Amino acid sequence: MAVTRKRGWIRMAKKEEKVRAPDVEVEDRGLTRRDVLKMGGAAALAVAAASVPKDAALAQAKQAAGRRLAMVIDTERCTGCHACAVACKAEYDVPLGVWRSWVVAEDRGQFPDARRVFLPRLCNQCDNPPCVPVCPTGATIQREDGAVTINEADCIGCGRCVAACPYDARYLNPDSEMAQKCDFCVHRIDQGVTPACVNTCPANARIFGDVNDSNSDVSALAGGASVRVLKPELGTDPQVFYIATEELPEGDLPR
Amino acid sequence: MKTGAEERSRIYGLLAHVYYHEPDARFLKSFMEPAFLATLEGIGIDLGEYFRERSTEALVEELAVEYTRLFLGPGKHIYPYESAYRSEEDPRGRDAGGEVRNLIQASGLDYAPDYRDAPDHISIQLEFMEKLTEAEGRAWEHEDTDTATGYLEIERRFLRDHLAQWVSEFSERVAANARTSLYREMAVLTREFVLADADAVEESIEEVRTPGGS
Amino acid sequence: MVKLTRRSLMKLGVACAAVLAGAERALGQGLALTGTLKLVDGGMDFSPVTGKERKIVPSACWQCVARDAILCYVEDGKLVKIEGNPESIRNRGKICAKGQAGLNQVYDPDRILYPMKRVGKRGDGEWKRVSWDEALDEVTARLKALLDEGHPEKFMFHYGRMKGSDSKIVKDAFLKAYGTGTVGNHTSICEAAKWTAQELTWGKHYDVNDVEHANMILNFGCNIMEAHTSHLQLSQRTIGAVADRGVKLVTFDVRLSNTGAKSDEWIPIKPGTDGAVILAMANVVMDEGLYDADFIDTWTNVSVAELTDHLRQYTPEWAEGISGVPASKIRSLAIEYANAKPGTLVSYRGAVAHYNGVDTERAAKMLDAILGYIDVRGGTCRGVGAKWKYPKVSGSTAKLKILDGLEGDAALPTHHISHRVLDAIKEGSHGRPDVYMTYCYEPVYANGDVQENIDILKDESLIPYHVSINPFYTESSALADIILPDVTYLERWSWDDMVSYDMIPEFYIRQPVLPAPGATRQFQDVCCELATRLGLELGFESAEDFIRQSCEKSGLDFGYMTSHGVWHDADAKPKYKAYAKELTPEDYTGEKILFDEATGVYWDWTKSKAKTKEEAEEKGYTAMKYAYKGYVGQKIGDKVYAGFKPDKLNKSGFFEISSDFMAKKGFSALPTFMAIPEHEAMGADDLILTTYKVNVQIHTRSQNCKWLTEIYHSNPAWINPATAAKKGIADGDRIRVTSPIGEIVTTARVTDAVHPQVIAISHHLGHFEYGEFASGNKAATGHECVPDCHNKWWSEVGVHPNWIIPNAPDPVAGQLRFNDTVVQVTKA
Repeated sequence: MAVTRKRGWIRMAKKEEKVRAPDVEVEDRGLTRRDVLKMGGAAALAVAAASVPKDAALAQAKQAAGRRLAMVIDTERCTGCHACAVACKAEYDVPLGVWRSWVVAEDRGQFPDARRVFLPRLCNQCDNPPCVPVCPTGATIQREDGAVTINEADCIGCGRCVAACPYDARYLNPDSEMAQKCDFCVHRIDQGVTPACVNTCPANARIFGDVNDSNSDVSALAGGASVRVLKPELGTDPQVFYIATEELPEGDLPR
Repeated sequence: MKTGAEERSRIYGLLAHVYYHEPDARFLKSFMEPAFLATLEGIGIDLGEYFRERSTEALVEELAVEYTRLFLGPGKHIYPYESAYRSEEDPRGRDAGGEVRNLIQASGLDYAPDYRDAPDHISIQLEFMEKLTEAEGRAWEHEDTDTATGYLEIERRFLRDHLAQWVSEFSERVAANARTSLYREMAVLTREFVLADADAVEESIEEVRTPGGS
Repeated sequence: MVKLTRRSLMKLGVACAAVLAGAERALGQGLALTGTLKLVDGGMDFSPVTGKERKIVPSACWQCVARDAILCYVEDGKLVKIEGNPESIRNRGKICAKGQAGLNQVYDPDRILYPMKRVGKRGDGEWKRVSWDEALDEVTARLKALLDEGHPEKFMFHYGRMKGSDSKIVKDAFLKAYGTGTVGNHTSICEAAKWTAQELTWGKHYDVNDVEHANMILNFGCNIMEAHTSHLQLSQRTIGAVADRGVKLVTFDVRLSNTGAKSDEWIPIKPGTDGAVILAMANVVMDEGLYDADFIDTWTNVSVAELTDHLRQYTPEWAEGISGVPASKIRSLAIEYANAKPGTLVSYRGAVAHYNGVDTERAAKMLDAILGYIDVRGGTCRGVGAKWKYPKVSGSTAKLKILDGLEGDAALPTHHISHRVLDAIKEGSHGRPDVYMTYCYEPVYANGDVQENIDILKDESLIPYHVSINPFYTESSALADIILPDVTYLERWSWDDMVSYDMIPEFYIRQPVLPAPGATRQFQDVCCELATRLGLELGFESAEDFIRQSCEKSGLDFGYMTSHGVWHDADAKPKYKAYAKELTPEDYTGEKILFDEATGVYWDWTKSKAKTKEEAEEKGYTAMKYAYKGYVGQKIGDKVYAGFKPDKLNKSGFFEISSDFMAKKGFSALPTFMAIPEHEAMGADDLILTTYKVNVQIHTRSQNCKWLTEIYHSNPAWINPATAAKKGIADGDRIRVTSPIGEIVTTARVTDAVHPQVIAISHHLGHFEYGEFASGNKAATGHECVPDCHNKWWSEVGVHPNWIIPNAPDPVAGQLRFNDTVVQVTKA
């Protein structure tokens, strides 16, 4: 499957990542820009880019109204390595026993034609989310760009949203008893940085961006032929799109 | 007004010493002086005959093994720092170490450059109280009520928000698991003293605030 | 009942003052706190930190040998996240699950923070903390005694993983200055057969499969997507090739690994028969005339005729009989591979951890060679890594002859036989070390025959003094006499030099992300102190000093390296076809350079063991010890080329498909198929035990990482449904697996993903030490652990297969034959 990767806002975000990387004591080392450029290479570009002011990055990131965040997961690329699952655990210090993102592996076929499919899972950030209306305090909301988030200050830990989600995407934190789930790493994307899982995936199997932007990779891929979503019959309108040539596994939690 | 700050300071100092590291021969010898053991007995702390009969050298080795087993490992052991006792419901979060460090550094003190253990270690917290009460005592000596009260306030905050929060659970664990009377009894004393002191500090502050109080 | 009254407290206070005075702690003198108290007006208040600053510290991973470049995020003095360094041309900003979980190493609640000295008998588990001074006094005394006796070789240092500057400091500086060459490694349990085969053929490892530019990838026994020495570099480029360019990936494996799962074809194969298939493919290539005549004629030491003659016997039908792979498939794949132009063959432990591993790897390289895929873009290339310059120490060393196994173990153990060291110590005829020091090495579980490892390590008459350098309390350090707490890789200074799949060297460093906790110290710094105590001159004061000096010598700015973590020359071109570089007369003429008529090699005799030029001339290149170290070039025709630079063996600069070294030791000069004796003799109901790695664990040293063990904490034995049915075994049944040296009882996983003659058990699990997450031993006193401990929801610890795998070496390289063991499997 040859896909020409088009430039979209997330490519911009990746560049911002590079911008953030040299956010270290270059000055303290007494290095001048010239010294660094003498060292040569792509690294110099990154340092030069560091002079792009943060505001500009933010402006670029929030470019359009009508932006709809979505993720495409290419299961043909996914190797089931769990880097995304562990990156997510680290990013949010998720306690043991609960998950915001996890990977399911399922064996199929009969020897010698055995095969294995991988299914990375996370909150589907549904366009018609069943979890939002059941929240008694309004702690869980759907942002304008579609990300479904939880304001823990208002959460009373009643658990109705956990029960309402048909995808096991939510949990009550065993220690704080707050409802929690994947929120598309809004604290990163609002700063123009890719979600943790997207950043780490060695197979580049997670593609993230604005599905309403016709120039984005996400919009190109989400409309492709072998695209599936989980439990479409429920009418939740998931915004996580799976590229898969065969049926998706159940996607159960790791326990 | 006398709050017994100086004496409280010495008690905190001794307890800080007990948890800071394994007792060395000099400390043990001094500790085992009959006069001190008698004072302990007077408040209901009895280290027992076994303790009295052992030679200092043998005790040093034994207590080193006990200290290691109780507080260091390897394997299961008791964590002598506050963050291990923070309840997960605690809205402040689990970073007791950071909070204690901030408090200590804001007070003008700092950790010795070669200190590498946890910032909220029991010994650190006891030593912090030792320093606070010592400074409080000096202020009373100079009849500087304002400064003394200031220290009392910090002591109150520190005991309430930190040391007194977890000292019970910690001490009970140590007492339950100690094989030697020294650590068992010192654990009991630690709990009793810290909790009593927390009350005493409250009372002292009340007293100072009460108009006409001395 | 403790009764505290105001009065009794007064009395107690006074009494305490006396105790403190007697202990010579002056009033006002601090224990751990320094400075002066000052009261700030209005009190003090501390609200939670808002707007957390996250400091980025670039460093390098150490969870596996790939040693990728990472960015570490520090917030309020705590390491909170690890990501790949986007400036690295090797891992390109990516990091795997194991790398992400590196945090767990730092915050492992069961880390050893102080030097520990054992109390009671070795292995009793009773310890007492000692100061570094005490610990090093003791170790120094032992080491000094050996120096005084004139027996430095009785100090044995045994490392599992030690690379880059970590190794240069310890081995090439400290141990060299001390005078001991009794240095053990781990290579024989890893891929010694592969390295030795390469040394017989084209020189030094690593082989780099340039999949990014290949048109077809053949994979024999490698689990690219879950392991491999350059895991992340190779896996992301392979998926890129497969997904973006539709490159065909064919995997031969005894089970469906995740690599097999992502391949166009998974071809099940009988264990240890990959060599037969490869030889048959080579035969097809010669037979069909698809070979690269120019490469064979110019660069190898065989002729087309010779090769064709030799390979004729290895027909696809013959190979089918041995391996179970259909002849038609062998034939069609060979032709397809030949037409790929270029293709690359990936091989690893699945193919080489066998009795016949050396010849299997030789055959693999031969196949690529005859197709002209060697060191070309898109082919199988010579590894290119950073060549750091660093402070050097001179010295001569002596060693106990216990590194290469017992008599008759292996003919050409160019990487030693690490798993036979304990046996050699037990056997004793070559002496025993007085001091056995282990570093990043877990001999109990790294080797086979676990019970024997434990027995020997426990025996003080065999190993008088065992020093363990370890951040963690493991099965092996439990059997030490003194444990020196090392830091984790996130707290130390090193430079590193792993090969780069873009074929352009990348220089990179590791630096402390956090201060070392407790009393842990980077072992390289401890070596500096030991050197001082022993009166040895190293030329640097610390690991950091060594890195600074290395940067200076290598023309790199230290400040740049600490800010960016990585550097490569942006103007450098990928180094393909290094062998074809023509040398100029300046390169190969001079006082020190000899020309060897027999081989056509130009060599600098001063780098060998020859004391005089005459001696070197007389002995000749092949016979002169260490002559390969002086290799300069290879004469071919009337030109001199760089050729295939040898390593470990005095090989010529040709790509040696035929090896005199092998012939001299009684093996076939040309690669053959060596049938595995135990497999020839196995019973009809017997199975072959294979052992493998998974993507979230590394060897025996990641199971303390809670996020990894949460995902993988159970290693049932994979068994084919037809095989299981015959034995009356259902999925989940307890089964007994018996080998010639012992038995284990584990759980069966009946799966179509495994060859019917195989039972497959991964090798990471089965701990009884290594902390709460690895061994399942809950702290008896409950909540002492970090808050997450009581969220641990699993209790399995797995069963380690090494209990029943013998420490058997292959006859050529001494490779531990991990995948050869014949076993009986019954319902338990």
